[in-house]
Amino acid sequence: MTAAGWNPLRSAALTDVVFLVEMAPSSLAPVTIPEMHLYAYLGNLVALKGGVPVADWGYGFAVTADGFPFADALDFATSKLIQRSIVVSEHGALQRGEELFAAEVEVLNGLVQSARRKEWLRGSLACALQLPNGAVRDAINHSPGVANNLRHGRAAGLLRKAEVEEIYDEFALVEKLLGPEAEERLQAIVVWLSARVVSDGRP
Amino acid sequence: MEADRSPRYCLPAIGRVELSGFDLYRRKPDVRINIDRSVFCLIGANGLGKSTFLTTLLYGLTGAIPNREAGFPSPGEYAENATRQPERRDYFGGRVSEAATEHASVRLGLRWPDARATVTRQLFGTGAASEVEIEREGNGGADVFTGDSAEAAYQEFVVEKSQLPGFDQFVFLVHYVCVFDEERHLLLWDGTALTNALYLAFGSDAEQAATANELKRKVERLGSRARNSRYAARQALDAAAKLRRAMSDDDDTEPDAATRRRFERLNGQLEEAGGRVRRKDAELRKSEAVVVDRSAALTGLQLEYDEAFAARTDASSIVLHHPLVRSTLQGDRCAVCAAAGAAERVRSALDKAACPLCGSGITAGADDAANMETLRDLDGRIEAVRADLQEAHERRKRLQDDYDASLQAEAAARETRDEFLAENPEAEREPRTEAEAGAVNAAIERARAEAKRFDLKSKQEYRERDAVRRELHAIERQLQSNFDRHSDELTGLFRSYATAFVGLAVDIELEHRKGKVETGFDLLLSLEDQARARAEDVSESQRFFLDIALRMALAESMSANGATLVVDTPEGSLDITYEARAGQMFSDFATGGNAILMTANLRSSELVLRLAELQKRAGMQVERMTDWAELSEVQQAEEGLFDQAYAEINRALK
Repeated sequence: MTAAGWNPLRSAALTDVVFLVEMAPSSLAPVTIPEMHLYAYLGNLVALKGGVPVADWGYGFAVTADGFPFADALDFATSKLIQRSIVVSEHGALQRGEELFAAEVEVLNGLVQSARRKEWLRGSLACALQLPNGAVRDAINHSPGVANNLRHGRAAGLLRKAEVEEIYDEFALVEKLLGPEAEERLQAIVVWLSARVVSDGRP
Repeated sequence: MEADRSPRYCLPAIGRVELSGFDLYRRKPDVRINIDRSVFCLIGANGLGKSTFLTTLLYGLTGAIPNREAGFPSPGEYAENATRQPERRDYFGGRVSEAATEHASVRLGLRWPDARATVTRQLFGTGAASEVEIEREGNGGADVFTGDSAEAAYQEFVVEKSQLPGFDQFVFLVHYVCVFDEERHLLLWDGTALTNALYLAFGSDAEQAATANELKRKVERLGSRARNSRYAARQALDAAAKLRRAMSDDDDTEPDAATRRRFERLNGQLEEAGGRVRRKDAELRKSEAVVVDRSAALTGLQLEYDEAFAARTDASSIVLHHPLVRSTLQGDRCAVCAAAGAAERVRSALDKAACPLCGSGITAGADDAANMETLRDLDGRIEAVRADLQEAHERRKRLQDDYDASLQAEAAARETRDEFLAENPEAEREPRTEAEAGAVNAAIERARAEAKRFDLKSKQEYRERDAVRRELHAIERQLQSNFDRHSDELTGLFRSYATAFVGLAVDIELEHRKGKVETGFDLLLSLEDQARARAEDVSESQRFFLDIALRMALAESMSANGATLVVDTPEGSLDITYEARAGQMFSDFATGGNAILMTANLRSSELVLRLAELQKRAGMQVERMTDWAELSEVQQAEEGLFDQAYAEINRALK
C-alpha cells in the first residue's frame, strides 16, 4: 500500500503480464519488456475490435518519445511479479518463475475477470505467428495516434476518442474488403496490420 | 422692386500667406509668401503637400476645412459640420509632427478695396481665430483682436465688407464656388448647392437664399409629416378591413359536423401519439438511470477487486503482521538483534515471499485464503453486475428505438392533422359568441375613426406644405425672373470661358424644378445645342473644366472687386489636347481682373506653360515647392528633371 492508501497495482495489468509470458509463442519467447507492452496494446485493439470500450480495458497506454506503446500499470505489475519471483527478468526478457508462476496462472484462470482477458491476448499473440515481430511493431507504429506522436517525437496518451473512431473506421473498411464470411476477428486484425506494413501506414 | 444687379459681394483678395511650424515642409516649416500677381502657382512634385497648402489656406480664411462629401443641407449646417474639431485634428494630425502641434499656425493677409485684415489660426486650437488685425482705410492704425473676441470680430468684419448675409454664406461661397480642389466636387450637377449659389447671385436681396432654404426645408418637413399621416391612415383602414374580413369569413364557413368530428379525431390521434412520446421518454430516461447505476456499481466493484487483488499479491501479509517484523519495518532496526538499517532487507525478503528470519518460502496462509475468498466473491459479483449492465444497455437501446418510433408517429399524426386543417381551415373554428362579435365591431369602429383622424391630419399638413411651397415658388419665380433679366453677364462669362476650353458652342439655361416634391434650380448644360443633363454625359476632363468655367463665371459675376479662384492641380484630369486650351481659359479669367491661386505638378504641362506664356512674369508668380519639402529617394534621383521643367516654365514667363 502507498501512503495515500491507493495501490497502483491493476489486476488487469498483472493478469496480462502473466498470460503474455505464459502464452508467448516460441518465436517471441522469452518476451522482452517492450514486446510485452506492444502485445498488450495489440490485445487492447483486439478487444476494441470485439466491442469492448477502451475504458473497460483496465489500464491505459501512452506512446513514448522512444517509440512504442507503454503502460505504466504493466510496468508496475511486472516489477511486482519480479519481486515475488512469479516471473524472472533476464537480459530484459521475462520468463516464468520456477515455483510460483504455475500457481499464479492457476489462480488467474480461476477468476472470470482475468480469464476473459486471455481471449484478447491470445488474439494479439496470434498475430506474432502470422507476421514477423518487426512488422507488427512497424504496423503499430504507423497506426492512428502512435504514428502522429512518433513523427513529432513526443509522448502522449493513446486511444483517445478521435483515434478510436479512426481505428473503428479502418476496421470497418477491412471487414468490408474481407466480405461477410470473414467472421473471425483475428483475421481482420492481421489484415489490418499487414495492410499497414505494405502500404506504409494506411490500410 | 427690381433688384440691383450690379455685383454685390466683395470677397477679399489673399495678399499674404504665412505658415509657422508647418513641419510637413521639412526644409521650410515657416513659409512666407506675398501674393501680388493675378496668378499664383505653387508648383511641385507629387506628395510634397500642394493640396495641403491650399486646404490650410482655406482653413485660415474660413475656419473650416472643405468637406462636401456629406452633401449640402444648408449654409449654416454645412459651416457647422466643416468647422468640426475632430476632422481638423485628423487632417492636420497626419501632416504636422506632434512637436509642432502647440504652435503650428496659418496667418493670412486679406485685402478689400478699402480695408485690410490679417487673420491667424492655430492648426490644433479650437479653430477660432487667435488674432485678427483690422485696418480700415482712413482710420489710421489697425484694431487688434485676440482671444475670444478675435473670431467674432473677424466674422463681423468679413460679413460687413463682403456684404453677404452671414459668415456661413461666406464659407459656402469660398468652399462651394471659389474652390475646385482634390475632392473634385461638381457644382454644375449639385442642384442644392447650385440653387443656394444662384440665390446669392440672383436673389432679390442677400437674405433670400436663406429664406428660400428655410422654406425648402419646411416644405420637405411638412411633406414628410403629411406622408407619415397618410400612411398611418392607410394602416388603420387596412386593420379595419382585416377585422371585417375575418368576421365575414367566420360567418361564411362554420365547420360542418363531419368535418368537426374528423378534426377532433385527428387531434385525438395526435394527442395520443404525443402521450406515447412522453411515456417512452420517461421510460428511456429511467433506463438511462439504470445504466448509470449499474456502471457505477461495476466501477466500484472493480476498484474493490483491484484492491483485493493487490492485497493478494502481498501474500506475505501474515508474516508482515508479525510484531517483530512490524517493529523492524517501522523502526528500521532489527527487533531481534537491534541492528540498524534492517527494514530494507526484511522488505526484500517479504517481496520474494520468503521469511525474513529463516528464508523459507511463505505459503498462503489463512489471510491469503481469505483474500482469495474475497477476490472470488468480487469476481462473481462483477460478472453479475456486468450481466445486469449488459441487460440495461440492451433495454436502453430498445427504449431508444421505441422513443424514436414514437417521435416519428407523432410527426406523422401532426402532418395528417395539419394537412386536413389546410384543406378545411374552418374545422378548428369555434362559433363566435355575441360578446366577441361586439368587441370586434368596436375595434373596427375604432380603427376607422383613427384612419379618419390621420386622413384629416394628412390633408391639413399637405395644405400647409402647399402654402409654404407657394411662398417658395413666389421667391423662385422672382429668382427665375431675375435670372432671365440679369444672367447675361453670367452666361456670357460662362460661354466665353467654357468655349475657350472645349472649343464648342456651350450654353447654360436655368431649369426650375417645379415638381410636387422637388424645389430649386438646375443649370441645364448644352454642348452644340445638345442637352447634357447628367455629369456622365460629358467626358471627365470636360466635366471638370466646364465646372471650373461655371465657378469662374459665377464668382466673377457676383464679385465687385474681382474674384479669386483656388484650383488644385487641374491638369491632372486633362487630355493633352485640352491642356493648352485650359491654360487659355485660366489666363482669360486672370486677365479679367480676377486672381487664381493654383497648384500644379512639376512637369511641363501645357496648361501651366500656356498660362505662363500668356501671363508672363508680370501676371504670374511661380513658387517652387521642391525647395520646401524633402524629396523622396526616387524624386531626388530625378531632381534634374524638375530643374528642367522649372526652367521651361521660367522661359515661358519671360
